[in-house]
Amino acid sequence: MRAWFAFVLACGCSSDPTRSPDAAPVAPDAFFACKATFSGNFSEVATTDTACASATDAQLVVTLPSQNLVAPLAITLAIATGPGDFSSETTATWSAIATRMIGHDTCVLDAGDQVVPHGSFTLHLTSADHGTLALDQPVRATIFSACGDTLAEHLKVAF
Amino acid sequence: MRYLALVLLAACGTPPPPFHTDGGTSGGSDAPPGDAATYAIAITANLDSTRFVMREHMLAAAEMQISGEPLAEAMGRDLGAYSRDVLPPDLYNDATLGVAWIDLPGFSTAVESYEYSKQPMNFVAFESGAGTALSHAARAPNLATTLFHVAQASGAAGKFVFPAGTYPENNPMGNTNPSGSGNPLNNPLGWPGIWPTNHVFASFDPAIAPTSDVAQRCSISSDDSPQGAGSRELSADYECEATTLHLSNRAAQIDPTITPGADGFATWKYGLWTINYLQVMHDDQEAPVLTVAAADLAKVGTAGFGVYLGSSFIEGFQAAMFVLESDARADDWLARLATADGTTLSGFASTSAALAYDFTAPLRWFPGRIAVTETAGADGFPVPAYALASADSELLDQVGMAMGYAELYALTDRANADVGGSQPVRAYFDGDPFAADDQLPDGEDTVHDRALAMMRVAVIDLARLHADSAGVLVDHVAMTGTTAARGHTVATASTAYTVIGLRTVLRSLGSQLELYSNNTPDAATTGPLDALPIHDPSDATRTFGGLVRALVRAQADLLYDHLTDASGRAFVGWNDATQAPISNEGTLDAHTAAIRGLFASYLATGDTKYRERALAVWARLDATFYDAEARVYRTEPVTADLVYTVTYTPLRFALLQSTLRDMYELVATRPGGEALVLPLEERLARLDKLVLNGWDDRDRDQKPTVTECVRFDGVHVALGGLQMGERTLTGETGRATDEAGVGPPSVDRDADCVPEIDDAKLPAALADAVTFTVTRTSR
Repeated sequence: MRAWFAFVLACGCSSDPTRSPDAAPVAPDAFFACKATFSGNFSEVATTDTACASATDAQLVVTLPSQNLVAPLAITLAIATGPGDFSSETTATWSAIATRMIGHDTCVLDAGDQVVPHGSFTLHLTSADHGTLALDQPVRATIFSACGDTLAEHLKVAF
Repeated sequence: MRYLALVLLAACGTPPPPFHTDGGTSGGSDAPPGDAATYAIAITANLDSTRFVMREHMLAAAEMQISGEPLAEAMGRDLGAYSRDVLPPDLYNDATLGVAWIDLPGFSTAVESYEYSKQPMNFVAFESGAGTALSHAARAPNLATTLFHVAQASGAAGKFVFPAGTYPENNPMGNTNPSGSGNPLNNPLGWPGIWPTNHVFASFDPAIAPTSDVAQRCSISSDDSPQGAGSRELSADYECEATTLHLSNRAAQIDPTITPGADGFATWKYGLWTINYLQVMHDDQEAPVLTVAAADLAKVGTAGFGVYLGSSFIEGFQAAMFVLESDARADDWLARLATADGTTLSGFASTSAALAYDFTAPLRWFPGRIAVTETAGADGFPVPAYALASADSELLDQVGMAMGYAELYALTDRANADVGGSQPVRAYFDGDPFAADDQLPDGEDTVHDRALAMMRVAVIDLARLHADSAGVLVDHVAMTGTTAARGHTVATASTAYTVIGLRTVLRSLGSQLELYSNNTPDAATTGPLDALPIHDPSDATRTFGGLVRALVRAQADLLYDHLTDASGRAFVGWNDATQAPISNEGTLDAHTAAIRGLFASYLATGDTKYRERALAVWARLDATFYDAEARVYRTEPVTADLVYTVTYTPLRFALLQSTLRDMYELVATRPGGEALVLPLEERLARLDKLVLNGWDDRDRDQKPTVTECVRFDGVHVALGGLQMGERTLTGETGRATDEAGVGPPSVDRDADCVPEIDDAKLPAALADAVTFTVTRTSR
């Protein structure tokens, strides 16, 4: 079902600037710079041909557009340069911010050290801006909103 | 297919990001209702018994308090972000995010579990008459005078408390009584309708008939909603006058029996809440006052000083009443209600004699049941007489006594920096309203020494009567005269609460007991009772503290070695004669009790093996008893049954809720545990909302509707869950428009499935048993 749906989406929307309208369906083993797998509150697999992560000496920024989010999910992790293993338990400052609209209902997917519940992440960096990230985000329904059965979003990113 | 098309349209409606996607599926309002499971699940419930069983209810209430505000704080919540009366309920006004969001875990703990836990305590202490009259207790002569004095010291006088036999009109706040509808005949003691109890009855039928009037324009306040901040909550009259909260037909509703367990666990609960109320003082606007100049401490609560006892007008007053009631019952048990022959009631010759009680003294113990007969009193309150009904000794009763008075003792212990040593507490125990103590166990006429004596007698008798040669304590000891016949069995829940109770004794005697922050392993300490030899025949050098530690270790090892195994299996109890588990039956209660007891064992001893075993039992509990589809913990292993029932009682609920709390506070918030945070929050919210409130959020939209209430009269009234009714502090202010106080009386103002008490005709308290029926039907 998912492969079929991806095919329909890829063929029907023809607005992917990285691919021609008659491009072949995405093959499972195709190269992607980033691959993000969302599950929980909503499910989606998103990939990109260009890098989604950028690193400085003090932080790693991962930006992940999603069809289910109002704006790209912006993940900022104040960590030293990779390689290495990091987590929310060892990182003082971090955030992952996104908003989802379901009809008129507003759902806030913020995670980070400044919000409650915090959510959590684990990060394995093979270099400064390559690695894998697992992130759990709480999903908060704002007043009068309904945000679905599962009020957590689980994200796995390979970049 | 329709759903897929919608997603596709949505995807194409705006320029997609430079992403390839295999699409999206989502919950929410544009998703199909429910999930993709094969079955739809419906949950209904029946109320099996409304009876108020004191020992178990007070135990549950204490656990619910600890699983209240402090658990919400452990979840990182700002308690000031919740309102007790704003509609809709369940909101967290998140200052960081700048939005209000629906926070079922936070609200159900910080507000509901917490305030639900307080109201049954107030009901038995002040409102219902479900105990013997404090006005006839030996330590409470001139009760009306005492009551008004402490009301003046807390600032409640003239607002909630008036001179006995009066009912002034147009009071400035609190019970304003603008139309003079208050009847002075209903005010024999000062707070209209108050019915202060000494000993609480073992059980009673809690039926009441509260008024729905708002004629007195009553607004209660607390440290959470101070009068001066303009957030006073207009309430039904019963919040300010307790007359209609009395048991409707008291003589027919009570079991006129008192027990050490009922009094003991009630004292634990009173103590927990008193410590909470004495964390701060307050001014005439109920703003918190943390400290005053040392030289001015004696002036707190005196006329003209402007700083009052306790955290608010009401809370400062009630704290003094809790201490008075707890102390009065201790005085009775020590001086009049023990037995030395198993046939008659008697007492220790003095508090000093009780403090010196040891293994060589003639046996004297708190008997299991005392019958109460009452005659009419001139003051309108019945005069009790007591007679021994059963000399047998129950483990959980004696543990309750020890734990309850350990909690009370902390308030009197000036070496306990955060409790008895703090200014707000010292202001109570400096001679007015309660006698100061020299801090020695020397038999002064003080709360301090009586609390120590209660711990002493209860623990020594646990060892003398209930312990085998290895220190394992059994549940029941039959007494024939002074001859004890030890039973052979102990339930896992009893062992767990023995560890918890004895740990509380150790922490209190070691000046370490805090209100809630008891979540790190204890340091070895000594205490004032160590100076008094116990003459333990098994170890002549053993001190009182050494005895308590030995008993803790023996019960901890019983939990580890025999009541659980490495696979995480827990047994319902132990037969000390056959040296085998009572049964191989696997039950929810056995597992939750084992987890609670093992975590307490770890904290009491610092030995991590108990913590590791607790985690093993948790893993089995979660795999075996949790029905993930229905989001319900079953009492027996989950099966594929399409229909099943599960009965919740206060004890079962408390064991499960405290297990989830311990997992949160001792595992999820510790390194490596973060992944458990969100699932545990969801489990706690579901447990509180389903079992307490009786709300099955069937469509998972986090918004209750009356059809989701598991008990419903079929017309318009939701009937709650285990929680039978609620009052102002959880959203039932009597009228839909709370501050205006107009319109018809509301039934379930906050639409959370729990009715207001005037409609329930029952108190804000737990039922004795509610059976939930879970039904799966094919979609």
